[in-house]
Amino acid sequence: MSEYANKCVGIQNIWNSYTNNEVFGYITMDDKLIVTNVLPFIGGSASGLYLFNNIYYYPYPDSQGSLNETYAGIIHSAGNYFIPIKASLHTHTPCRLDGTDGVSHPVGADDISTATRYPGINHWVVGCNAIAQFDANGVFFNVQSGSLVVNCNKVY
Amino acid sequence: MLKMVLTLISTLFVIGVFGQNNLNNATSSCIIHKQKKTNIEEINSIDKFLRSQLTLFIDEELVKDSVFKTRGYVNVFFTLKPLNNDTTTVFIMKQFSNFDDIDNDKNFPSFYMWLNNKMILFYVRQLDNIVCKKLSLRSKKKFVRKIEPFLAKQKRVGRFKNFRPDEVFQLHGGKTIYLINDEHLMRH
Repeated sequence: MSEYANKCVGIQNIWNSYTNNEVFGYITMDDKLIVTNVLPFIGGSASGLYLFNNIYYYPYPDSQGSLNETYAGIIHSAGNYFIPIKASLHTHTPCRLDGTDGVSHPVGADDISTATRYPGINHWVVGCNAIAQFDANGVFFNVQSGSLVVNCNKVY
Repeated sequence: MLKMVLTLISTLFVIGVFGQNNLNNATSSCIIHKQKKTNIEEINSIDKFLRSQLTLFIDEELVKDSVFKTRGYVNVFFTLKPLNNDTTTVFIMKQFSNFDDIDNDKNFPSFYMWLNNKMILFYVRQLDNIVCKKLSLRSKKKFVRKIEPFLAKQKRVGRFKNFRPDEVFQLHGGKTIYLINDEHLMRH
C-alpha cells in the first residue's frame, strides 16, 4: 500500500507513473490517499472494505508493515489497522489509447457492481484530462474536464 | 423467467420510462415502488449458448486463478435491449465479495443457479433502476447461507464481528457476450 498525505500529489503520481495499469485506492476521511492495488488493463482483485457502524474501513494488517501516515478515526484492533475512508478512486488508463476521456462512455457493469457494493461512499474515476463520479445508477456525473493538477483537489 | 424480465425492460424503454432524463439524474435510484417483497429465485434453465459460455468461463478462471478454485462465484449482468434491437448484451465476471450488508437489496441478485459447483448470480441493473428492488429478508438469508461457503472466512477481530481478513473483490475483467436471436457473438 502506498500512502499520500497530499491526495493531489498521489493522484497525479498514479496517473503519471502507471501508464499501462489501472490503479485503485481510497480517499481517507481526512482527505489523504491510500493506493491499494496496481492492476493490469484486464483487471484483477482489489482489497475490499469493512463496514462498521455505517463507516467504511480499509483493513490493513500489521504484518504488512507500519503505516507512514496518521489517519483521523483509525482503529487498531487485534493485529489490524482499520482506516476510515470516504471515497474510492481508480484510473481508466485505456483512454490513453482509445482517444476518449475515459468518463464519457456508459459505466461498466463491473464499476456499477463496485458502487452497488459500497453505496455509502463516493466513487471516482480518473480519466484522460477528466475526472468523474459514478454510482450504482450507472452514469458518470460531476464530470470535471481539464488538467489533473487542478481537478485532483475536487476528488472528495 | 429471464426472458419475461428482459421483455419488461424493453417495454419500459420503449414507453420512455428509462429515458435520457432519468439516465442523467445521478441521484435517482428507482421509479416504481412495489408493495410486495420478492424472493431471490433459484433457476436451472438458461439459454444454451450462455450456459456453454459460462461453463467455459469457469473452466478458464479455475486454471488462471488459484483463489477461484476454493472461493468465488460468477456474476452475470444483462444490459437493456430496446424492442427494435435483437441483441442482448451479457457481461460475465467472477466475484468474491460478501453479502453481509443484508439491507443492500441491489447488491443481491434477482436469480441464481448452480453450474459446475459454482453459483451463478444474475442481475438486471436497468430493472433495478426502474422497479425498486425489495427482497424478502427470508430469501436473502437463505441465499447468504448458500453462498457463504464460497466467501472468505469470517473472523472476530477485536470489536469487529464478521470481519473477513482475506476478502478481495474483482475490479474490472470479465467477458462480454452478445446474444443475437439464434446467432451468438462473443468479445473478450
